Amino acid sequence: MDVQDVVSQQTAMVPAVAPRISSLPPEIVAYILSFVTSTAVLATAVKVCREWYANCVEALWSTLAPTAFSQLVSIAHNVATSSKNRLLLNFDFGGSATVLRFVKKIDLTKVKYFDSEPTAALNRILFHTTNLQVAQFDNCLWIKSETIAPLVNCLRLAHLSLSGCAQVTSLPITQMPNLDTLLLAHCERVVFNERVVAELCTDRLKHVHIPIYYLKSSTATVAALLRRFASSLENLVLDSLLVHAQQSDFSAAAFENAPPLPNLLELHLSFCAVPDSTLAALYAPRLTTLTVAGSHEVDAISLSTLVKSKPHLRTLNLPLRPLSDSDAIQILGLTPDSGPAVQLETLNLDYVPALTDEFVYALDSMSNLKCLSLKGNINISDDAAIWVSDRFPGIQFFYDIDAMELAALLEESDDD
Amino acid sequence: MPVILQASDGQQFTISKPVAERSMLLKNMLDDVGENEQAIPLPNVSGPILAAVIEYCEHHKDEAMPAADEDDKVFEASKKKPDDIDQWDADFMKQGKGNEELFEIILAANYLDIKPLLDLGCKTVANMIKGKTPEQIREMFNIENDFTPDEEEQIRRENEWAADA
Repeated sequence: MDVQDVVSQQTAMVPAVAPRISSLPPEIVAYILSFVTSTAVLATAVKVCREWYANCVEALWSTLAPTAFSQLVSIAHNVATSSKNRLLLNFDFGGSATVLRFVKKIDLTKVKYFDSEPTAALNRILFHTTNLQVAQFDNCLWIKSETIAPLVNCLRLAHLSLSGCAQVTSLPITQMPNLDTLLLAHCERVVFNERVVAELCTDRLKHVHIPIYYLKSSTATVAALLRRFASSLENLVLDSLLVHAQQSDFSAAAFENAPPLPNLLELHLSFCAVPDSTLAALYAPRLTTLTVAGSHEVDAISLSTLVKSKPHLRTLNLPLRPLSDSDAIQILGLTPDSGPAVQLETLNLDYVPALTDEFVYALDSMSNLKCLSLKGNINISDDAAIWVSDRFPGIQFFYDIDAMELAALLEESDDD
Repeated sequence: MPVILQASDGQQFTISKPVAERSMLLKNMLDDVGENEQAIPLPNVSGPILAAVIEYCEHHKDEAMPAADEDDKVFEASKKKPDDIDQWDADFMKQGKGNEELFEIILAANYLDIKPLLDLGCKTVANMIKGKTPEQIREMFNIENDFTPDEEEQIRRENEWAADA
């Protein structure tokens, strides 16, 4: 084939155009506008002309992340309630469709001004956001079960965060086949029990945060969760409260006879008092992050076995555990005869007051350490703290100043 | 072996093969027809625009070409950061380029299939929209307002919330 032939074939399809944006091919206009991501700019772009509206309306409405609750009230008033607000232009999805059908994510964590509690507004909006995938309602204390009841229609919901929504009791989540994240930290009144676990129609729950202290029959609930979602679970967080740990009905039986958890990456247990030997028996070969916080008895041999059997472990948090220097050194494999040290990147041993400088200097062989937290450990000297900063350049290091200094500072601030 | 390109106004440019191959259109063409001393006519691209496109390709000639299957991932990543433009690229787009010239470069990049330059041009235009009113945008891009007054009112109400977002 001749060069000229190739060229004339290629060019025949592309008409020579006068280069004004109005005569740019529609696919190029669409491509240009696909680079516009800011809500404010998209909100302007939809007002330019029909072509720009059609190109930008979906992106504009894909995320609702209000910075003031009055914005939710405005949306509810102007979009969700008026019968005049049909979709414009070529979007014909049936009589009642509004732009809210484009909403994929609602994020209420960006609100700066608590100028109102838009309970009714959120409720109205949720009736229309039938394609919602992500709902982040963290710390919305004003949300009640009725407020989020319309979520039952959002069958595509994958991520629901109600952490801190202390008024919510029932969860409208059983019909959602794609649900993979359920975060319920500090949900004081939430009903989440064995029956709810059994009724869930999702089979892909990955990330779960459960406030076990507040649950009735939390042991059976956790056991059911582990059985049902053994193969999908990636991140499990169970927390109780320090002050209430003794009153919780949670027992380590939830983890005894647990099925293999082949995909578990993170396990966080706060004040759950699961014995270290029970955790060591858990099959979770991909574990990268482990938190076992609380004051229950330490079994250094089991913890050492656990840590050694997890080749991917990079983060270990054992705050408030009654560890001695020799316990910590054994767990982390820092004795000369214990073979290579565990190569952690993050280590948190806050409020383990028995730890002394001897432990700190033993960290020398953990050459990958990037983050170390030793808050509240009054027996670790400033010299050892300075050694840490020198030994691990660029480390994120959390450490309290000398207790005497602290006392002096507190006295000073009292005087003010 | 150099490659000769001929712009719509007859102006000819002799460039090296690696520079020409930044354009997927030219690369495929050179792969198809092999080495050839004939000038390749580009009737959709004027001399000054072709000169600018070649300047861009010269600067980027040593960079790795994104593999075809990686393309979408790279694009998705770059899309999230519309402000993330390399300093040389930003200067290249600024140098005395009015809107007309910018649109011509976008069209040329599209025609010659030079995806990084197409993206750069489109990002530059997308950034020009920032901070403008709809009327200023229409003026800048020569766009006619084809909404009815009713539609305009509906869109205004629909987006009231986003005004201070």
